[in-house]
Amino acid sequence: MPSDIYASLRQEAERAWTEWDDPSAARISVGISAAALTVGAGRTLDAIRATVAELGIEANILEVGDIGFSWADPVVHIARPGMPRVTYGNVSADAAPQLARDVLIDGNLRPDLALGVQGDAPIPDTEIPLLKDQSWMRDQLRLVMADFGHIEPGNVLHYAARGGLASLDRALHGMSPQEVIDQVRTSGLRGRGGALFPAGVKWGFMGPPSGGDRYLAINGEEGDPGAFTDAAIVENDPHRLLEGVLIAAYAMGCTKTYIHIRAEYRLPLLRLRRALHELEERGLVGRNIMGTEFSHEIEIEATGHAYICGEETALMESVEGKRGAPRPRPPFPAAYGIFGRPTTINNVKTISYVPTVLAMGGEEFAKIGAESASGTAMLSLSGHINKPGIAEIPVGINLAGVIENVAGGIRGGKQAKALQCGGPLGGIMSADEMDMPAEFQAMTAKGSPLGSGGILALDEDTCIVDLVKNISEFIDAESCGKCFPCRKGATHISRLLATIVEGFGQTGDLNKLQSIGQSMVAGSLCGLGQLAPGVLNNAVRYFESEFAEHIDDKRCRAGVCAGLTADAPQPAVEAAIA
Amino acid sequence: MTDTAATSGAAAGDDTAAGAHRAQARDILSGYAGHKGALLMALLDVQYQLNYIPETTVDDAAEILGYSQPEVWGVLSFYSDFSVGQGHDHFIDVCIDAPCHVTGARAIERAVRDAVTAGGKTDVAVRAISCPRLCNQAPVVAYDQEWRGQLTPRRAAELARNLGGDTA
Ligand SMILES: Cc1cc2nc3c(=O)[nH]c(=O)nc-3n(C[C@H](O)[C@H](O)[C@H](O)COP(=O)(O)O)c2cc1C
Ligand code: SF4
Ligand code: FES
Repeated sequence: MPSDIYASLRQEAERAWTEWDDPSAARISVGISAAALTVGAGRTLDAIRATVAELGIEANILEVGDIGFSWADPVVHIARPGMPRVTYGNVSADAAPQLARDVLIDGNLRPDLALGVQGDAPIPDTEIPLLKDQSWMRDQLRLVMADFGHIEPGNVLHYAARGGLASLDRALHGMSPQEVIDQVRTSGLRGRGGALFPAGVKWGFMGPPSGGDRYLAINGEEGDPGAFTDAAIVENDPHRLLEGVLIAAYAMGCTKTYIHIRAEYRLPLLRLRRALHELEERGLVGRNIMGTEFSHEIEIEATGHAYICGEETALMESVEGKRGAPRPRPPFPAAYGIFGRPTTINNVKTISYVPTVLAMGGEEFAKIGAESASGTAMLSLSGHINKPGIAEIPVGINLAGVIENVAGGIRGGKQAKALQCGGPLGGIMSADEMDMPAEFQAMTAKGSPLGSGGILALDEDTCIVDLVKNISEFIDAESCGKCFPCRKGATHISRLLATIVEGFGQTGDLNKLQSIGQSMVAGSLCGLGQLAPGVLNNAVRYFESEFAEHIDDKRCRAGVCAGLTADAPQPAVEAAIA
Repeated sequence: MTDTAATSGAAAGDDTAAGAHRAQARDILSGYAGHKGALLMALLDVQYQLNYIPETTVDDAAEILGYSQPEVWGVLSFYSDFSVGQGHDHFIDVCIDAPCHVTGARAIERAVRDAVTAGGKTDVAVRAISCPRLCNQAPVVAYDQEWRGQLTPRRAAELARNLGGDTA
């Protein structure tokens, strides 16, 4: 039974939603995100506003979030009165006026630019397929991304109109904190920050509140290059994260939450601040939330760019305003966390699943995905693919299928060579291994852990040695320097790889690299040093002959390493300049 | 470094660009005076408003916010947002992390540097920086913090030549 407070919010929300999504009106929405802005989505929105004003078209216009089709940005959705929305791709500011005119005045639905019809009902007499049947959408299951590209990010009424805040209402009015923890435990939800620790079990470590402050910290650092789904959640549906925070805080009796996010993510931060402000205004954050005994404060910590701050103990240091250097464990955060108080740290994605877990019930959620990890995987797709972007798939579907369909296959008709997954501390696998489940443990066994969901696809013209060198430079730059083996080892590895790609490698270098890696694993305090050799080791595992060519034959088959002889007369990089 | 900074002219009464930047930075820092633990936020604010950290800010932050100089340096050297040093009218940032690297960042960085050198532009600084989380639009370049995606070396060079003028 929804509470009265929620019921009246919901009513207000539905009114606001129909004001925008009025079926008898024309509706145009433009996907705006930091990524879409880089290819001109802002100018597209301006052009559409201008055209609608100029032609005197009656239309509702809305800035929505990013539907995840980065390859088709700028993305625009248009509905004629009484008709479902059609999603259009690559709508530049130049193309937008004509598109609006064609669709809204002439009734020409422009199949040439259409990506698909939203919803379940096809539009009669057009060849435009349903969006959900498109090859890149068919395999997706969007739980966290359900409202991406459909609502105005940060608008609490839009969020509530689509079912948001119902789980919070149910938790606060119908469940004890222990019941919430039990549901999360039953759901099998595992942490999505990389280590896959079961969320319900972690929450249980906090024990019953004993008076005094206890904290929840949200890890939005997302330091892995090639991972951008945390920022996407904050940017496209910030209320989902905030609802998850409130439910988790209620379950653990936390008094305050710190949301840790980089200051440089300006648009996500702006929208998150707006979303929080709206909840505060409505008394959904603060004292006696929804008329209950539960009170909670949320603080957004805009921090600096430092990879190590994603490590949970370093994050706590940085929340305390210090340099983010990891602390030894034990003591564990649940016992001694931020300012010495009990603290739980969860990733943005992990917490954003929580409203869905309560809405579905733990048992139903557990049926999705794989036995080892329930639910979906949010993927950040980048590299040599036709469809870079954000996607969400049930854990465990075929990985080769993900690359072929969801990611649109390797671009330029080339062959896949390797997948580098899980960021710089993840790993790499040969494309020959791709016929396997996209599942966390299985991919770890292949040497390319899915981790936080970043998949960097590499085509046949990629030089693996050069890539590993790039990643080792990243690790070298990001080692916090506290432990000698990590600080020195990272520098040695990247210097040695630089020597190799410049043509000065020596027999025995591979052994040297691997033994430095071993001492980093053995002598490092935190995961950065311990996981640092993952990409290197697995690159050698799958592509040893390529390392040997660089070292012994002074040859780079991809023609990427400038100082070495190439197989192909025309280096791939130079070709791109033409 | 801090020695020269300390003597390179007080904020007031210095009408050079550096002086103006110093005054602006001191203004920003003053807004955080008295807040506990505000050092990082104050410095980020200076960085994102000025696009760099004037060397004088080390002394100024220490003085205004009540930290030691090593503490200020500690924060400045820890987070890679910060670019301490000389001011420029414009900054071009090229992302060089793996997803941009494999989609052509190296050629883009070279093209941008060449364009800046060839144009004789001394008021533009090119920086190779770490991933701003726009890898789905890789390779990316920012002109004065405004990011552009799906760039080719040719378009990146144009961007540098046209002082950020639009090429998309
Ligand atoms: C070097 C290093 C960097 C990390 N970076 C992140 C990060 O950016 N985001 C994140 O959520 N977790 C990161 N982690 C994992 C966190 O320490 C922690 O396990 C996680 O935030 C817990 O949240 P979860 O249980 O919801 O996954 C990192 C770990 C290490 C060792
Ligand atoms: S392992 Fe590396 S990053 Fe981690 S604490 Fe030690 S030096 Fe710092
Ligand atoms: S690697 Fe360049 S934007 Fe992420």
